[in-house]
Amino acid sequence: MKVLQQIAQMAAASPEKIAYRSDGKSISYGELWQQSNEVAAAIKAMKLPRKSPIAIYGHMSPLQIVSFLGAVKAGHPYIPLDISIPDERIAHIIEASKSSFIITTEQFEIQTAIPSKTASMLISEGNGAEEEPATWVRGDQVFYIIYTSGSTGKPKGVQISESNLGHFVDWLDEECSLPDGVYLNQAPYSFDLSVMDLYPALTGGRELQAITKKQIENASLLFEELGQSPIAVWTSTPSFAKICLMNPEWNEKQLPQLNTFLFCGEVLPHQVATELKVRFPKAKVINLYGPTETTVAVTAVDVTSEMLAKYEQLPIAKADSTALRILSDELNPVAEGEKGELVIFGPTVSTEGYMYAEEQSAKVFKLHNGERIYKAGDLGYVKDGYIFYAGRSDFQIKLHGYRMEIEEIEKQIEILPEVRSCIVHPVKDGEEVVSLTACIVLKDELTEKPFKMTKHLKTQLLQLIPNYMVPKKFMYLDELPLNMNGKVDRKRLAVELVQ
Amino acid sequence: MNKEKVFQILADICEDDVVLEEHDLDLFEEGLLDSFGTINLLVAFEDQLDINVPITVFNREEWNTPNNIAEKLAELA
Repeated sequence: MKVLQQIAQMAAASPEKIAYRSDGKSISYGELWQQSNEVAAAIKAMKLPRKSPIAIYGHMSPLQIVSFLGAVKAGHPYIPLDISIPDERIAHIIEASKSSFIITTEQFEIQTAIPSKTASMLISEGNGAEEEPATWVRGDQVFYIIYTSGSTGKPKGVQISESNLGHFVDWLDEECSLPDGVYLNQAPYSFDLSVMDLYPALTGGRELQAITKKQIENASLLFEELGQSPIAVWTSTPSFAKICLMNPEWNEKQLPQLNTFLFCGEVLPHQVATELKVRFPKAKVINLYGPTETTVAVTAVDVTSEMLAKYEQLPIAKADSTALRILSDELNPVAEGEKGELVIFGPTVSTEGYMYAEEQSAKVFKLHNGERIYKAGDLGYVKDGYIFYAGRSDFQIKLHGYRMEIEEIEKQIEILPEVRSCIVHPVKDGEEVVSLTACIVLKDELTEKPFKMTKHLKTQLLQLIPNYMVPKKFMYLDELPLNMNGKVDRKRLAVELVQ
Repeated sequence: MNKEKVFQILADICEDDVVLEEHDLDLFEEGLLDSFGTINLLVAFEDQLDINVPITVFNREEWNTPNNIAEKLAELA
């Protein structure tokens, strides 16, 4: 599928139809198409370096979607930057990606070396522009870049091409038999889960209902908003569904149109799927798997009641999946039941890999029998014709759906002037990571109450990393335990923390 | 309503004993509580205090410090 052409057809066929709605604001397909033409015209008039990324800063609003489409229509990939990302991290991403311009849809006060304009200014400058498909991002050209946590201490930009995105949308639509109707947009745009609702909705002429950070933080606002919209397809992390399940009134009666749940981003707990089946007996609950590097998701399993009765842990794929295979370190198939690494094949594997990070790309994007593959670093095994997830082979974790590298958090804490060394320990409930604990050795002896130091360190840390990466608990130790090789003994530390 | 019991539940959920000492600390601003922690907190109130706090009633403006939370619970008890 050609993503932009498909949206163009929808806009031409039903210009009055609502494309996107959030917090009382909405935009029709006709307006979305015309305003993004204007943004594209204004961008082209600036004569930015060819194919240079455009950073788009803001939060859920029709102007965000207008800006995304405007950037790619002008031939530039876009980098979504949500307001929840700390200023220093945004400044780093803009510099590291060599972005040439910033479009803002919220107040922007970060000092950068490149110009910025509001989306509204660009629309007025575009002055009724006509579309010019010749400049659109197409094929192997990069459509969007999403930054994820990096073990080097700095985030890394995953480049997804128009072709990657088109294949993903086609696959999802067919695999999950996506219906028409209203699609929930819960994930902020800097999180690639949002791609799972944005483009399947827009290319299918469906309506997106985005919910804001403020609504998520205030349950009464959230359920008021949800109650007003006939949502048919629900895309979120399982963690978000868990919050909603706390409200006994969140059920089929409140959302009678809901017929499909799409979950991705973290392990779908058995208990969440079971409860959803009770609350929404007519809806399908689909568990999807995939990393950002291979365009959101590559496998899907329709969770049935039989599956819930049979397995404590839910499968992530069918064993005959062509996109996902379990291989040994030497990339050979492993026997049924044996653990191996999850390796992803197919047209959604990022063609360009990480931005300006060849070494990092070369470690995980490989050629295997002439085909480009991505080594996910996740472990898995096959049983009864299904693939099951079995943890990580490194220090990457998922916390409430957010992917992060433990080593990045440790490096950022060690930058703080008061800290000599730090180890971050993921606290687990079964297989699920529920919080993080930072074990810190300070340079100087602690002379004040620990919580005052914790407050001081957390305040500094929030300038460097998003709040979901800041450990909940800070513990101060005289020294970190070492193993026989002189390395920090993480296992011993984990045991000591439990005691 | 035993305030100390409320503070202990908060300390367990926030995994920080600072809650036992600083009763006017904004738990959300301090990063000790978030939407996900709130779920565990409401479950703990129900299990340990037998008080049902509907999630739609719990808002961050009024249920933000140990003292405020204890007061709100006393109203519901």
